[in-house]
Amino acid sequence: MIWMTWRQHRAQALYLLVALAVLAAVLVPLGVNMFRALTDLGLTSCHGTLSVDDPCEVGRNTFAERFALPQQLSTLLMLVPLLVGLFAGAPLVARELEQGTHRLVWMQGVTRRRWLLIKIGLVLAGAAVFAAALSALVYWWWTPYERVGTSRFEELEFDLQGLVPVGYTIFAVALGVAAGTLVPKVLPAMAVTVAGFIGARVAVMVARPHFQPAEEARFPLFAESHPGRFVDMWQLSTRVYSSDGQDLGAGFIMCPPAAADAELDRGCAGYQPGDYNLTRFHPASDYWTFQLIETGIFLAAAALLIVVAFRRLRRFT
Amino acid sequence: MSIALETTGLGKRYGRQWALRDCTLSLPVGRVAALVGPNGAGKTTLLHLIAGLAQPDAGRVRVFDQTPVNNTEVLARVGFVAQDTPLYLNFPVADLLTMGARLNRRWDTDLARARLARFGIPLDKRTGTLSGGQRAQVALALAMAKRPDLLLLDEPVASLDPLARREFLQALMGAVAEDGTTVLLSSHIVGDLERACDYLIVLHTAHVQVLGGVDELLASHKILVGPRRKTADVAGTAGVAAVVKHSHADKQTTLLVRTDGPVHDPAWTVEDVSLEDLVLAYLANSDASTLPGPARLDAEVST
Repeated sequence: MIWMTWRQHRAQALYLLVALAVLAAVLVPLGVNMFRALTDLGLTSCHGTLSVDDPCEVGRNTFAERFALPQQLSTLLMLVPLLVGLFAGAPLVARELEQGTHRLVWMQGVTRRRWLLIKIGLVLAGAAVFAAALSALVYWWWTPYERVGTSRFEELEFDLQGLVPVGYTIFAVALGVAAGTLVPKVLPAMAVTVAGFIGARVAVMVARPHFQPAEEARFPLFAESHPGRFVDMWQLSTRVYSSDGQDLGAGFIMCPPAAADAELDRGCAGYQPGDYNLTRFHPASDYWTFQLIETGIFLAAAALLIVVAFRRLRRFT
Repeated sequence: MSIALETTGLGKRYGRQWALRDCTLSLPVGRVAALVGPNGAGKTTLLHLIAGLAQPDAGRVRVFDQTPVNNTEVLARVGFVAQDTPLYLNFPVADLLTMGARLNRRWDTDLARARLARFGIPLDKRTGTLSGGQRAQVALALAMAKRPDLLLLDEPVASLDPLARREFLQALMGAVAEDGTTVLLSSHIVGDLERACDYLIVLHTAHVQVLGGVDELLASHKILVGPRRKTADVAGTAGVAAVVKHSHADKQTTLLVRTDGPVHDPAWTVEDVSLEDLVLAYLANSDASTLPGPARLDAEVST
């Protein structure tokens, strides 16, 4: 069965290897460049400071501008787990049923349960190794962005690195296989996989802020010094409140301490001493907890889908 | 005589529709049996139940005295060529042979290679580029390389032209005769099977209608030709057990009857019947059936 699985999926394995090689060929030189730019722009020691006249701000802006495009494009990597599920997962059972070859392979010396067990096991293992390698690559490549203030804990960035891509990929493959046992044709199984994957990802994304209670921090508007840039953490919202707790709108406002100076800074006009910024966030220390929780959710769902696939398998003749 | 396969009250339902119902039959070892019936009669369902691909909704099926579903012992002893001979079309023929060698404990690569060589099928060609007849031969070679004790074939010749059909059946019969393999072969083309098969199962609208050895069936059925008369009057004739089919021309009546003894009535000319005529007569008359009674079935089992 191991030979058979390899024979049927070796082309897909090759495509994944090529994809990984191409992405590495792009991301590794780019990453090296970005680390070099951090040094050149004098940003290596800027980590986490922010004041009204921050000397690092210029360098940060230069860096952000120069490397904005790859950052935006990297969002497309969110599709990778889905693609693996579509092309490795959905046809795994559906193509056999569609072409009738299940009646050939199930009449060899292995039972259909063993057949599915080995095929799912090997394909999932291959997909997981691929996802882990890609995720590690992206994690390394993201480090310079994090130094200039784009946390890998933020939405979208969170989804591209760490453990979750492995969870998504295993889920997508399991979903594809299960879809193939529910609608025994390749294209409809793919359609179900797309719908199910996007649905699950959106649902968990909506739930993600509530995995742990958010923390709150208050910062007075008028102060000698203001807090550092919120790197590493996942900032959920910042709003301005008056001293009696009235919501004055979204934003983070920093004003010099003397009330008289407020006239110099028009943005500070209209605010009273005692007004404060309220930031809701998940601290950087929760990053791996969140990664584990989200990965766990998708792995549990994948396990459930595999059980469904095995149960459905008995029905086909 | 031992039994290769046996079904008792076997039934399979798809939704509310019974695809096969109350099917009781047994096939002795070494027989080459034809499973005949019109499209939709339940032939494929019966074969899938025997192969263990489907689970019965009623009754039971035993293959070499075991339940076939999820049973590696039965899988090892049963070869199956499914309808339309499905193959992995992007596999070269050689890879299919490797598949068989990897997935089966008992596997005769030389036999498969020899069969393919005989039909001039190159091993390096993808099966998708082969003709229908060649594909059928590949599927048969794969099934036979398992050296099965029971070989099941679902409409193996349906897609072949008459010449290829004859060649296929000849090759099949030649191959199984050497090993004494039991064969169950479904078809809706009866004529092809007369030479090839020595046992007959006729399925009609999910029921077994005719069951028995071909020689015995041909011996116990006759065509009677005589002057025109009512069918009802014939029933009492000595030797006639049942009238299966009757046709009346102006002056002449032709009957296909099942006999229980010699017909001596001089008014009738008694002729032998062909297997095809016999099957067609039964299929046209769904009330008629000829099944071995329980006593005879038991006798077959015990001897």
